[in-house]
Amino acid sequence: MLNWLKLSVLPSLAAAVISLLGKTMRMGTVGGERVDALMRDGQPMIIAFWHGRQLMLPLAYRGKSASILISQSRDGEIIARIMRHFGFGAVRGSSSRGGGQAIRHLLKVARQGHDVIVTPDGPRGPACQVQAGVIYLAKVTGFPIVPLTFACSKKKSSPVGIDSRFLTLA
Amino acid sequence: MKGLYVWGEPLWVNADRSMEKISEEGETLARRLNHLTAQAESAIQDNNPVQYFLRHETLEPEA
Repeated sequence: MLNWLKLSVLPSLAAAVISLLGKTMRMGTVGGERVDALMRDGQPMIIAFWHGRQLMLPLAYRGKSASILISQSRDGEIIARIMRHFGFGAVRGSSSRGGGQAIRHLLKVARQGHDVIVTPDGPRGPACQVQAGVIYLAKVTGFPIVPLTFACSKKKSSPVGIDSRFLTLA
Repeated sequence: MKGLYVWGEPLWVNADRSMEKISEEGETLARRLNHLTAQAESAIQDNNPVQYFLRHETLEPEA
């Protein structure tokens, strides 16, 4: 029952909360023209942000199609389902489990011209240290890595995962 | 409540880059992300975060 709630109800609820937060916050963007220029040129990209900044980032995406690298853990399954609500595909794996298979899958996705989204330090960290996989992916695909971050005026952090996951509370 | 997204300068990794040198690119990406995040955190305290960010934007520190 608990698992059913986590996997069926929680993702929809979380996606609704993220959307609602996005609508009620006064959002600003800096540097969007860099991404727009790449998109105008038809250049797919690898979007990278720290694991601890991920909460509101589904709303930042400006492209047409992207897949996100998400761990094979149960939390990863919940995140993958939340991301599906925002139209993202999921490639499952991480440096600690299923990494090789995930990289191969990401390469396939990239070669089809889709953007790829990664947390270069996730999911097990160390926090804010880049794992080699994202750089390897950029080297092999020739796609640029575009760094992205998010800040908000009110926030609380929860001690979940490799670092304090970034939560936004009114 | 305010929120600020910041997109950084794209980082291109040369296809000829050896696996040994890949860690340097990783450090560059980490520096870039940390620098953007620190600047975004400063800017979000201002009444107009976008303008604040653009006024105070600095280049990322060298390695």
